[in-house]
Amino acid sequence: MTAEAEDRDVADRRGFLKTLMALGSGAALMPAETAQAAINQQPPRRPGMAGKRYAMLVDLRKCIGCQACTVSCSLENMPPLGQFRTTVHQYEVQNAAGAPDMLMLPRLCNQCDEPPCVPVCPVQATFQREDGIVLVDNETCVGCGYCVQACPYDARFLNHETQTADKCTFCEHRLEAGLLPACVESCVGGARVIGDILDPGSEISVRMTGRAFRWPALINAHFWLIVVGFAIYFFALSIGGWLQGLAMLDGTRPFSESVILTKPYLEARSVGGALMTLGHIVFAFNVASILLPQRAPETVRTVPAE
Amino acid sequence: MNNYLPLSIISLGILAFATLMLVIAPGIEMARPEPPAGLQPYTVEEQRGRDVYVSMGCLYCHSQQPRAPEQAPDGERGWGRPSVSADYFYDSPHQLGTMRTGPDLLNVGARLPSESWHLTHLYQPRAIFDWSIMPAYPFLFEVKAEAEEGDVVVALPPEFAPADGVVVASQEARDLTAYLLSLDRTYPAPEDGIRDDGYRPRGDAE
Repeated sequence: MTAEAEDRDVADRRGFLKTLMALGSGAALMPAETAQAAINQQPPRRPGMAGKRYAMLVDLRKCIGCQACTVSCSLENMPPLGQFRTTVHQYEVQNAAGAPDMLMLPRLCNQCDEPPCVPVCPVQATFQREDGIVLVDNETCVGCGYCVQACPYDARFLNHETQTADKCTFCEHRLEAGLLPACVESCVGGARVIGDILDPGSEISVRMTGRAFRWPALINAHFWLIVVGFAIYFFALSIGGWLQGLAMLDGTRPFSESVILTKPYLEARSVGGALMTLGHIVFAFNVASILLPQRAPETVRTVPAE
Repeated sequence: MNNYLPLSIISLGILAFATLMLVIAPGIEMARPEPPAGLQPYTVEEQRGRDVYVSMGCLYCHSQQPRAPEQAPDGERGWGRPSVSADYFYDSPHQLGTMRTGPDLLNVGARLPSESWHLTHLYQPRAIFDWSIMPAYPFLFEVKAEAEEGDVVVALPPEFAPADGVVVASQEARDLTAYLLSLDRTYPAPEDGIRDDGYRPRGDAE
């Protein structure tokens, strides 16, 4: 090896070490990607209706087991004969008085927050959207049935016409068009409520928390008091301040003039400020009214079975 | 945008640069260890009065920073020459203020040198100017049947005076007045006093 080649070799080695150090420090700065594929580790949700989280509430007190939901779901979604995306199970139970009674249990996919059916899919055919709805891509699904086994609520089945997994979709095609799911629309007792639980004003949120605005008109009152109060305040002070500044910049006008001319504007400012204060009080009152206990639970009447 | 590191470094860098240019550099340029010859430190009484000034929030309506003649006719109004940083040598916290609902007060002791005037004005500003919108500070005063030894009686026109008895200044009112009377920066500005005088050459006094 000639001296020159040796030099180059050393230089190369040095360069290599430098690169290695740079890479090392770079790696230390880069946020490490967490390892995927732990058991029940949820993959990222896929796009859905932005900013929403759909959920369904079923008021068991109102279900009479008429199966209108079962029928309308089947008409809407056309699962094979004998297979259902939703149905109402009926149980014979003992009621609190010890007498035999019937219990109706409507069942459908819960669209779980951490659906156990999703991570088990070997081909990522089933997924959850950002709006919470769990769907199956039946062009990717290989029909292995893992998800059917993984569901603790027995909400999935293998569609024996398509040989792929099938489940309730909350009728997302209808939701997107602004319609209610078929089962909700057909429920005679109004037992099923669907909605966005991220919207505190939605029917389902109000039903779940049991807290509604007692006087919704106060929301508007609050808004307009603030808007009008702020406008008066803003324009009065802006105009008054401008005129005050002009008076103060003119050495031939006494200082008292700059004070006297602002008086009507300051009075208007007080009016605007009072309106805003009133708006804040209305708002505080409205919020406090939600927090107060309200709406005694609907009395549950048990009608003994004949 | 997945890598937040360069973004954070760049934003911190911009912040550091802005702090350097807007805070640190002017701070170094304007740092003045020397008080001007004409400026006296506050006495104990004046300092107590200054604390009253701060606690009453006087700076919400009164500034303490006369402007240059190019900016505003403060000199014509008797508010004094443009101030320089050395004028605030003993002021901590400074009371520069931004609002001029009332007049500038940096030289009020020179402009209105009467203790009696200030006490009357603090007790009831409308007793002196009927157009004044300054709040009255009657809680800094006491109404007594008769003035005692060492009391300072406030001179009031009959319509503002109490039905019987006399209005006597509390220690706070007297301290505050002492502070107001000490506000006097009429000595010439130090030669090396830095201020924004526009394009006027240095030393070209009006």
